[in-house]
Amino acid sequence: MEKKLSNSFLMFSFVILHVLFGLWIYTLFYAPYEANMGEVYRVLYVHVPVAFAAFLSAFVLAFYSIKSFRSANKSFVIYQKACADVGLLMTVLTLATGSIWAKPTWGTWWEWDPRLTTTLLLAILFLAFIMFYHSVEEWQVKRKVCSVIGILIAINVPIVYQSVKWWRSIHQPQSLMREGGSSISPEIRYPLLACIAVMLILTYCTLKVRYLYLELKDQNEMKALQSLKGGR
Amino acid sequence: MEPIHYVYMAYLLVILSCELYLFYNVYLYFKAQKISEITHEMDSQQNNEGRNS
Repeated sequence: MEKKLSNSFLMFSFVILHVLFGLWIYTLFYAPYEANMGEVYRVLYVHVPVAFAAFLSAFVLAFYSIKSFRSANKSFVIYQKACADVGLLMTVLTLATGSIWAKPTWGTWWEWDPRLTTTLLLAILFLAFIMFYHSVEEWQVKRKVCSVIGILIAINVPIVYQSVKWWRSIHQPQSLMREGGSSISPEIRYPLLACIAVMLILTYCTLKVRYLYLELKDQNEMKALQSLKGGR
Repeated sequence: MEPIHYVYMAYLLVILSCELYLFYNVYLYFKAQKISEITHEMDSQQNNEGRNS
């Protein structure tokens, strides 16, 4: 049965998008000033949520990679592609906002730091997935290769997260979720958690819209191919 | 550049990317749906013509 983008889901996505904008306006103008980093710390409210969104895309991609590995259902592969597209965007945004934060705090746009390097690797893996998806013609090979890359992407996520713990890094250590409780003050932490939660819901909405579009596009291509074969 | 300008840069980048990506995909979806409807109509027209002839 053809899945459709319902008006109510569309409305829900736009409401979520605007709730997130509202939260970001609040954090930009009304969230408390941070004494050590000054105004620059506000980048945290966009940098951390997009990083979590990239992680969510990677985990959903891994989930569908495992499912796709077990059964040859085409919609699983299409869902994987949607996750890789959204994941790449979120990872690039994580790197870009991280660089914007790094310039005034570290004095450089880029440093070959473990956290930054593993995040760059995550972006490269997402890109590799998309490249394989488009370049491999044989359906069964595409399904298996993409599933392997999908699982590799998910394996990379804990490495990105733990990199500041495992290696010497100039990136600040984990401060939101760590042993012994968060080191961020509640006035900063709660708006940040709200931004992360809403961003994750928005990522889910974007994933679903992307999936529905890719599935419809695939159906149209199949129909066109069938009518071409029938015309011969 | 003042520190707050870096903050504006990051916010603008993320807001524009998230909004444009979602809207662009919604636009692509409706465009694909239109193509699907046109193809369906053409198929049913062809079927009718085939039956009449």
